[in-house]
Amino acid sequence: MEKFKNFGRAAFRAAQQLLVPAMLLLVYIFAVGALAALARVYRLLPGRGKNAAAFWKQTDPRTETLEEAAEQS
Amino acid sequence: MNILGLSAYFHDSSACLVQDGAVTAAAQEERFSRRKNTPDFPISAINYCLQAGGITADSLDCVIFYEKPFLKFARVLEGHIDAWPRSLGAFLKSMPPWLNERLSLPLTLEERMGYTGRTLFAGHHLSHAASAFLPSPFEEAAVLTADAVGERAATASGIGRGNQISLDREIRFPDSLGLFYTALTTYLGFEAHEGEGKVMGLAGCGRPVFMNEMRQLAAVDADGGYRLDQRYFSFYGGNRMYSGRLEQLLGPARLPGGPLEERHADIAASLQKFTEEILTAMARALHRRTGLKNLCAAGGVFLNCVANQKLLDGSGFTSLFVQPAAGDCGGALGAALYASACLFRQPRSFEMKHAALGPEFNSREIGRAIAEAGLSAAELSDEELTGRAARLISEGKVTGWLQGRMEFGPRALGNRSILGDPRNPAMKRLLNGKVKRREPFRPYAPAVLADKAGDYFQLSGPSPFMLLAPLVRPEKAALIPAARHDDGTARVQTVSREANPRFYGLIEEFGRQTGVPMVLNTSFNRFGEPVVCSPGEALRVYKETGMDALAVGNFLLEKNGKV
Repeated sequence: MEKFKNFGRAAFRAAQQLLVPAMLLLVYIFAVGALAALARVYRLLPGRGKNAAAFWKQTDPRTETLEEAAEQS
Repeated sequence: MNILGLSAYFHDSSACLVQDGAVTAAAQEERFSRRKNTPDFPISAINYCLQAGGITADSLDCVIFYEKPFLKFARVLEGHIDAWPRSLGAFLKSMPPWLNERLSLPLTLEERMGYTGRTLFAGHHLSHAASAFLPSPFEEAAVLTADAVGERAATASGIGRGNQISLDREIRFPDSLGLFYTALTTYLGFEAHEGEGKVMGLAGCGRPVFMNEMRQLAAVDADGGYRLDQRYFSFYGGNRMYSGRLEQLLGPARLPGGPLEERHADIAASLQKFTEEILTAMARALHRRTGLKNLCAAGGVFLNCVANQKLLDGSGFTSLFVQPAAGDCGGALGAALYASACLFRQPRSFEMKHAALGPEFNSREIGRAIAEAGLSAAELSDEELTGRAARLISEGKVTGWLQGRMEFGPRALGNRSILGDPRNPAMKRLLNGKVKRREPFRPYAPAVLADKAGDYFQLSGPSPFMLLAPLVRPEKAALIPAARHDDGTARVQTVSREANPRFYGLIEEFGRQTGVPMVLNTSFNRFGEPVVCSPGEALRVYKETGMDALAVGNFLLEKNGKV
């Protein structure tokens, strides 16, 4: 039974080693690739080498509430 | 109230415990794990902090992380999208850590610490700002932060007043002064996030003759706002931080470990001067905008002590406080103080007059470590120790000095130090040959009695954390050749009796014996290793290098059979 469990763990780890990079590759090619295509088409992201009028951006200076500080974004 | 601040997952993880508004303990994980700049979850540093505070994780009122992970993840993903398909390698490498731990900190806290209480997240640059303003001596001050990048911001500015910090403007990635300096650091053949200090030292050996080229790399406004020309850089994907276009502009990149040419020193000098101009312009504009006389600064860029000196001299501010743990490790301290003062409105009762926030060891522990190392030592009184240690240093002996609590931050400030004689022109060669193995162009820094510092250096105020680099007074330069860099400056630490009585006593005794109240102070570590934490680590370095003597607590060890 112990041998069977150890074999199962090893098989899971091997599958995990293979599956995780494979899934990430698929996500990169299709999902990230699609977003990249959209970004280029709609120019959602700022292009390189362009200069804007002001380099500083205004931000909200107020102190967060405790509820806001509990957020990870 | 017990608040634990954490920084982790990028470089230099650390933990900091704040109890009732005051910092009880802070330490970097690398000092325990012995992995330099480790990004790992700082469990050993956390355990130390809890032990130092006499509490367990159950007693914590909150844990606060030094940045907002989801915001940062969004920016990282945007970068991969923008660089698609070149960012494949970076994507495959970076995603597992994000998915495994960086987006699930509360779960990690439960699994690793058994902590299930309140978890908060402060903004990255807000943590830096808090680390600079809240432990400063100022009731109000302008605040400036600059580093590689946090969630999105790479530079931020605002005001601190009482228990409030208001950052009202920022410059966002990929426009980053920190990454600009780091990219050129790697172009010059040094390691990213390690070699910037070396480039600062190399700059002192060169001439700023590449300023036109620097101005092509970044557009700079009169208020210090800047925008990098991204055609010269590669921050999103690829295996280096600069493009071929940069090499067309400045010449071929230097290979790591390759020979250093005059051109490299000149590029370093130009980079340094350009960075100083940007920072000084920012600070000048901030001074005009706020009308305040005090400035607080943090973020890795402010470890550049040469730039800090120029900023103080040229910005209009009369006082400058730079957080000694200015890099990401200080984020833990800043986040904890931010929670205490700004979120929970605890009184600001802590002023950071020294950085000795880490572990210390008693005589019994030191004695046991010496016995385990198979060495013998003399246990001396305080006066005997300072007298004999000062004598050894004055004889040109490279002397280790492990005393009291370990410093928090990258600088050794007299508690985990290797000391030398600044009068000895051969001291740099001796320190490099026996222990440090540093590049020959890198200077060693002096620690001088605070009340005598003005006699030797053009300092307008204290420099307790080795974050200013004033000029050596010309009439004293010949007295302290080993403390003076090629450009005439020195990275000075002023030592006060109040902040570090033991180190002050040693330097005072050295001054009594030699007439020069100053020693060379470099960090107690070998090349590539973190600074030592425990007596055992110090003894190992002592045994395995050419170090001549070691004072650990009241124990003194000397090589060649002497005790």
